[in-house]
Amino acid sequence: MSSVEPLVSGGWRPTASLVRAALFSTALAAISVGTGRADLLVLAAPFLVHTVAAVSARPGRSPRVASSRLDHASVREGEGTTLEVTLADCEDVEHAVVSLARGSYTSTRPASGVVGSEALPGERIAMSVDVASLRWGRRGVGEGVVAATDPWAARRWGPVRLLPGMLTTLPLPGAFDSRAPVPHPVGLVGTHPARRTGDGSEFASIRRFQPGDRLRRVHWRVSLRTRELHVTSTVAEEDSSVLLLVDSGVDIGVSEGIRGAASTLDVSVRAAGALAEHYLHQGDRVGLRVLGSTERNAVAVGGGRRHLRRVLDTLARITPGEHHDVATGRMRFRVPAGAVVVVLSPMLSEHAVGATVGLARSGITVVVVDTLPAGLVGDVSAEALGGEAGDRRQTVAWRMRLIERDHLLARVTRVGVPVVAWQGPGTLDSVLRGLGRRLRSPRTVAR
Amino acid sequence: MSLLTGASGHLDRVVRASFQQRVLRGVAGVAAAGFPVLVGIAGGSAHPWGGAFLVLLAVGLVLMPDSGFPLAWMSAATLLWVASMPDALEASVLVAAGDLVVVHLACTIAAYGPPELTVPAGLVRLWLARAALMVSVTALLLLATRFFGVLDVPASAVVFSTGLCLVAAWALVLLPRLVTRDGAPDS
Repeated sequence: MSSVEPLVSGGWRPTASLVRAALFSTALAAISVGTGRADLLVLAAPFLVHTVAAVSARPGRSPRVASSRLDHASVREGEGTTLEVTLADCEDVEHAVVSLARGSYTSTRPASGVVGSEALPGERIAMSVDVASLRWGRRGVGEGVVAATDPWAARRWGPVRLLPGMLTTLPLPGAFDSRAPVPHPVGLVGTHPARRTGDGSEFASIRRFQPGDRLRRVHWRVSLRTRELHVTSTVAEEDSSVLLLVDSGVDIGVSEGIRGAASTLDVSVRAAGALAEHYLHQGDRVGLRVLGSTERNAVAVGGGRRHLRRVLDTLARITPGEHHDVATGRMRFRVPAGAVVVVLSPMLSEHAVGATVGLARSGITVVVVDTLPAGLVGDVSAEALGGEAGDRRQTVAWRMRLIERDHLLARVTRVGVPVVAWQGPGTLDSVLRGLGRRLRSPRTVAR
Repeated sequence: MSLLTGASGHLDRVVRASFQQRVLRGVAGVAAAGFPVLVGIAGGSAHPWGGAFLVLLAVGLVLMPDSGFPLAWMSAATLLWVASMPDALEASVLVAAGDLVVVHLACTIAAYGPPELTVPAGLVRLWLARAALMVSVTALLLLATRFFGVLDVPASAVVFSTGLCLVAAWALVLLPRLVTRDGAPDS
């Protein structure tokens, strides 16, 4: 039996081994009797034993697949779960085998995905295969076949198809850290220094005591010198909102999963996950909007650990491709007041550039994180782009597309949107500090 | 699918096969290819073309243990035995039967699942016990036939017709079990 054989339904079928033993022994016995050669009867004897033993124990019931399920419905990239296949009614089963089909971005232990199990009569047979998901997304895992063999390998049941279970693989957020404050926090409590004074840890000024000031804030040295009570005031700390805009319209490059090369969409999704995790752990509010053909494409701005799970779950459901019915000019992003919009895009599509320019023109603080991997800039082989090796046309087409991208990036920078390549920790630091300085200076906004 | 593609597919399977599967196929191949040598050692007349044909079939059964190759090889090996050896109940008959059993059981265990499968050690031990039982019964039968040979029991029409009737009845019992399926259909 193999996993590529056509599947057969029905009960127990005689195996090649039984047919071989039965035909060989019977024919040899007949020839032995007919020719009177006793040595042929001796040669037939072991196969007669096999045939008699196999035929005398006819299986009564066929086994059935009682369950085939994954231990977890969702895992992180690179993490694994276990596929448990249980056969019931195994009174006549001596050995069972499960063979999983090789799926993209999944790996199994054992690597072949084939696991066999010896059966004890009258018991259920449970077989388990460890399955790891190597790329974010939702995909069917556990597709394969299961078969069973009766005693003396005389009959085989199956192979019976195992239907795949849906496994959601949450993106493993890339490493990210930022020490720069978000330009204009507007919430109640958080970690970003606000423009107003209030409860916080960062020194603002020393001022005269006012009713309501805490005694521990009294600055005794200044108070004694001026003979009037003075207190230390601090800058209030507030939270802020960050809206992540992920461009899923294009996916360039070859994705080899968590351990290999990354496509543009891989970089975007993992960077979005990293930003969401960082800001939500800081106590900020984070929202998500996916630009593309993904069905569930928006997560409202919110905070907390559960919200991180919602964001990652939506990122895992991203499907690459453009939604041609969506006019980016008419899209409503529901950006909260004071929020910073971080656009994660390789900037290769008009949709993403149109949305970015539109948001910037309406006075919203926008930062573009360029998610085109460094390996795809410049002279790139067609193989790295997912094409056939040595395809010069594809290489030339990619060069032309990079020139077009330069024009699109120039359009974005013309409206004052900073563009920064994704580099993990510290990617946004200089950009956010620059935005903070710019926002403190007067400006005109086109409405 | 061309013959070449099919052969390369089976070679791929051998490459992908687990260590145990390779050992089983190797054992089957060596036992199958060694049968003509065994016939020669037992004093049989040489049949170079017959031997070459057996080796060719041995290659087939190594690549496809779950096919008709093992049966074809066993039939060809018996033909070679009949053509080369006189009707004598020597110990070499037991050795030849053992060789056939080795090929048959190695192919049986190798056909338990895909080539990557490793059959549990407990099941392999069970098959070794079964093989011992099969060879023991064969040895007993050899001793019994030699004993009756020593007694020089004359061949009679009654013994001949009884034997044929037994074989025919056995074939009648066997036939429906080989062509029908047992157990309830899958739901």
